[in-house]
Amino acid sequence: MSATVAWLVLALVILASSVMVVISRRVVHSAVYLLVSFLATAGVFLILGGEFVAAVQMIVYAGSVAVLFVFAVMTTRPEGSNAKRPSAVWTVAAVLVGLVILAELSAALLAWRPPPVAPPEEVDITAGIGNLIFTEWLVPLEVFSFIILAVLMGVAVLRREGKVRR
Amino acid sequence: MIPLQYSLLLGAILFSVGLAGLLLRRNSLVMLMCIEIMVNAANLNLMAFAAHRGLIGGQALVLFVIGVEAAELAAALAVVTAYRRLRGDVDLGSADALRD
Repeated sequence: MSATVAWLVLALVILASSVMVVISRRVVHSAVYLLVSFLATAGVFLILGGEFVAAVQMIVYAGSVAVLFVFAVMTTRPEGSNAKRPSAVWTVAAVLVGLVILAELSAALLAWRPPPVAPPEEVDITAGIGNLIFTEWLVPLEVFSFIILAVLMGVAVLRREGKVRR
Repeated sequence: MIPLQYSLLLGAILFSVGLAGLLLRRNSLVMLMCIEIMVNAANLNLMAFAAHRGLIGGQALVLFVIGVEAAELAAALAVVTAYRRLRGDVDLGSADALRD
């Protein structure tokens, strides 16, 4: 019961802060609202029984991603850009696309009944994740580390001084 | 135990908000944040299914998604700062350099 109440509060926080990411005028405010949304999502993960994933969400998203965004905002100064506001027609169309996607997803959700499953047995989730990704999912893990390496080299190439020509 | 449909509905609403924001805004940083919101919605769905089925694999998949997403964001922000050096702003509404 109390878990449901906490879930509802966290869901409202996630929704409100995500909407604020979209509609707030200053980019820094969007970044901070995104951070709030990620933290509340970590709380939802905790309620859903994923302690380790909640911790990783807080470390990676609320930690490094938020810092990355704030640094990007500081180095690019996006507030000073002479961005044109999108036209009214475009705004209405964008909101409409969002509403149509939401209606479709909700319709699919209402028509679908989850198959009954046996109640999951109690397992040590963190140890289970470690066992899984270091035995059965070892190849995806290595592919993932190559992705990280490629991104590292790509960013280093992109940020080389004096190589961007006007 | 949270009903599965609640979590899926939250994910659907979040995805729609992210998609609408991606179309609404022209600032590339805010567009990246909207992509993050959409990925977050997908992660929520994965976690809800993992909790419902009692499977560990779903949670491990969320870990991979989080990692790949952070890597993608690092690359994207490097592109944004390079674009800022090239054009002087981060506004994608005027990004027509490849057209000429």
